Amino acid sequence: MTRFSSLLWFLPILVPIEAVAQPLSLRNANYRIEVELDPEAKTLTGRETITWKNLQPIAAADLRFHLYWNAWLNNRSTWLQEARLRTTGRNLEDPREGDWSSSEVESIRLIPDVGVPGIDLTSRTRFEAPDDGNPEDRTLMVVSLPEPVPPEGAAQVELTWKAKIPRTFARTGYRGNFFFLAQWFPKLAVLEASGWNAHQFHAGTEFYSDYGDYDVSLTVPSAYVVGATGRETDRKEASGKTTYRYQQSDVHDFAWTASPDYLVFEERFEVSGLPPVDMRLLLQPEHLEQKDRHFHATAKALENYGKWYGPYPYDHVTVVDPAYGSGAGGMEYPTFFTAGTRLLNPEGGGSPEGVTVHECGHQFWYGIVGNNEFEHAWLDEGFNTFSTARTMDVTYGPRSYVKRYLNPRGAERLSGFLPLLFDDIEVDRVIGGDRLDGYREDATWDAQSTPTYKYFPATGGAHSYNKTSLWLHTLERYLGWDMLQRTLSTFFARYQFKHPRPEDFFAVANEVSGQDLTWFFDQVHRSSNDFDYAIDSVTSEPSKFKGFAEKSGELVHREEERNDLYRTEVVARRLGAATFPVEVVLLFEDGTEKHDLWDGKDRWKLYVEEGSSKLRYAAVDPSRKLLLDLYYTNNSKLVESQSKLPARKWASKWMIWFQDLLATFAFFV
Amino acid sequence: MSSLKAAFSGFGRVLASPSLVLFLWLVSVLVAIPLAVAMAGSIEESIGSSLVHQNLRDGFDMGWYGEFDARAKGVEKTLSPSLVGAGAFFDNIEAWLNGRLFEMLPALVALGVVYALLWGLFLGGILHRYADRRGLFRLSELFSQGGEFFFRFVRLAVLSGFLYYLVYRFAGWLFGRIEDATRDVTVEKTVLGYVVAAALLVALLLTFIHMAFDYAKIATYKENRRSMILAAIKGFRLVLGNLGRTTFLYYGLGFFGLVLLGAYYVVAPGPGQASVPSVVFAFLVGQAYLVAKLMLRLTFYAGQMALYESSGFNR
Repeated sequence: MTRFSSLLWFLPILVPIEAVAQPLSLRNANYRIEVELDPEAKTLTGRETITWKNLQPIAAADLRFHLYWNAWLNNRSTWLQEARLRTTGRNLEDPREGDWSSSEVESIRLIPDVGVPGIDLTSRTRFEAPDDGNPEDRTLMVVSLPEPVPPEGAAQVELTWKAKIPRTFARTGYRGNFFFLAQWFPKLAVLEASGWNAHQFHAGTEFYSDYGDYDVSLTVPSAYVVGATGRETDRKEASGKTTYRYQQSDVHDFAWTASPDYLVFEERFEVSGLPPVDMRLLLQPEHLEQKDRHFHATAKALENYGKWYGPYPYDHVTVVDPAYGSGAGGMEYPTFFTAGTRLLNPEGGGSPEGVTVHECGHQFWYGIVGNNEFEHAWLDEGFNTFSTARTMDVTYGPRSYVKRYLNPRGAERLSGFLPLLFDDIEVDRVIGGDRLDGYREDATWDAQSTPTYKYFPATGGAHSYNKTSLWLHTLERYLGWDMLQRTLSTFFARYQFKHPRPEDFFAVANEVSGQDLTWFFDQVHRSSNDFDYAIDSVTSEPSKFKGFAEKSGELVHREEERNDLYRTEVVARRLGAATFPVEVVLLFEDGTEKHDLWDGKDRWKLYVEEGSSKLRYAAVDPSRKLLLDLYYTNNSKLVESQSKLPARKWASKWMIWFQDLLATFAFFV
Repeated sequence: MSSLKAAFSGFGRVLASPSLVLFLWLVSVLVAIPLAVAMAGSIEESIGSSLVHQNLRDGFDMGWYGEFDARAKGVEKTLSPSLVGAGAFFDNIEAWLNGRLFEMLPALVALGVVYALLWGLFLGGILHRYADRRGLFRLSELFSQGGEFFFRFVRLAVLSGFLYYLVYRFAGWLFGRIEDATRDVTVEKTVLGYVVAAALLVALLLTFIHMAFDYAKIATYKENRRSMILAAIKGFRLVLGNLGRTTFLYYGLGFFGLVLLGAYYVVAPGPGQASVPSVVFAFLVGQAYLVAKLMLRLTFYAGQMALYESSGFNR
């Protein structure tokens, strides 16, 4: 035991990949994995060697592994309990026997050195549920070590495991001969200065891991096309099976896919000022006509994110177009992501461009800046939603509204085959990109600062994605894009290949903007308060005076009405609980404007003006800086309402629909 | 008489009584207007005196719509961007095909049922008018004939309703089986093929029942039948006994309806009416389509009546 300990502490970290290249990350969690896919049995059989270095100032008495696929071992897991609280969960109604999954570690050994047999730790494993104490959750495995790993010490462990592949849950699994394999191997948690940051798998959260080198050998039937994180560096064929070796440094995860159906295309991203990137697209044959749309969106993401935040540091990226109905679409992994489209997807409707930009964008926010998605998912999801919306806006402009038809009754998963594009109805960046509507519904459910895994499962997305995108967009309008871009690029540069926390971003924002924005982050991040400013009332009438007024040193009664002078009174209100400084503007009929910058803290503010012109309207936040304002219609008020025409117009269109509905009822008589 | 001749004869009979078309259209307007007025009030209240009115005048404002929808209650929930142009009709076709018509808001279903009953009330008069009669259309004729046959047609509607219910149950089962059977299919085109085939089958079953009950009504009227069970059987016998001509007539007119919808899809005004005349014009274009659709529906009755009355029809 003593001999083992001494060897363990000074074990050199294995750096087999790109040893000559300058490391981008600390590479303290390195994986060498050999795995074989059995497509018939839907199983993976694997062996992995993890070399881990303790970078923290505390010793590690145990190692903690995520066994994510145990989230779908049975219906008592924390993931499935939480997923049932969500209204949009997939595959939750009736999982069948072949749909469940498992991840079973068969052996785990501590390897002190090459050639040394190692110490069997299999009997030292147990499952823990630190978040909810759920005794039936087996997604977090703890392995007690014979000796703690001290600061700067290292450990090397070898695991063998067997996994049953799920019918897709959370974007990982199979459908027919399509396999998308993510979170598929026992994965080490992250040790922080305060201890292991190891959570169970929750329905509303994603992942958190240290950076390292991945050297993965994937054995599949030879007819299968494979795509994975990293670059293929070797290929061997034997007995109808092919083993692909993929390697990648400076990443914190590894995912892969296999299917005999993929068409493979390659293009090179080359834009002045940015390093070139080889783009590999694994496309479903029925989406051949959408090939260029995938490449274009990927290139636009690499270009815009690269210019705004910092260059994409890897020289390759793989785009996966998942199989129909697989549920694997729209997910990010280092150097590798799934887009997602439909057979019919008219141009101008924002799909598959939006999802492609978003998941490619995650290479930056999640892949390169590796925040803790268990606790601060908004740091990547929100930043990326904002960046996606901006990229889509500058690249494609507002998209058109699309409604999808052919949604058969009794088969919820067979839906939306036929799209109808309403090209004269625009969906702008705020609605389609920042997704204000989705946030409005759930605005007050949780404070964003609540750890993500504690968000209410059905509404967490609104706080991680939409709210962050809206407050970043608000900052863009408040500080200006140049300032926000500098803030984000500074944050990106400073925390790439690291694990930033919210405070890190707030500090960068304060530093770069030269302002103390704490008040802003208190409102949008540390509170669940909602924003809603309104113009409550406007009056503008000939000036009247009634009562006593001073004249020649005496109070005398006076009644006076002047038609050349208008007295205007406007009441602006703060209806929401949150505050933000807003501009209030009064526009008069002669074109003159009165502006006031209201700190927005009081519940209301009265504006009184006397002048020669009648008021036309008053508006609070007329340039719409505060995009978190839940109801913008009430932000302005005309002295004379002009809503009759649009109301009648839209009611008349509704009436045509309704008359046709009545005729449809008459079909049954 | 061939199906084509029957269709032309039917169309001629419809054209011969424009006031009947006008009356039936007016009924649909009158039933729809109260809710449309309420909807206009809701929209007006939502816009208030806001500057947003400009966006809704010049086009559609998805931002405003999100706010409206978040606070919408009851019938207000049915306002949707898809009401623009032909989208409104696609919505209803989908609801009809899925049997979701009766899962809508109770107020809408209630009005829909009232309208359907009104249609049932007028049906006797409609058939009377198209039963090879000429002369001026009189409202009293519509009501007197309608009153005579109303309860018989309601009984027929109950019978056909039971069959429609069975079709919808079957559709749910069928699509469920398709979903099951395609769990491992990775090609959308394949699944779409199954779904379209199944949707066509469901549409075929619904329309076949509809066609048979059209003939049941015609037989009831022409033969003054009292037993609606026997009338329904007669309806099916008439269809099956003259399968070529009845189906060619029915589905030929149905196809024409699709062409009509396609034409409306092309010419339908978008959301951009910014003045009173343009709003009125867009409304009238929509109403013109509804009138054309109504005339087509009446041509079904008149054409089927012409076919029934023809000498070669196997009665």
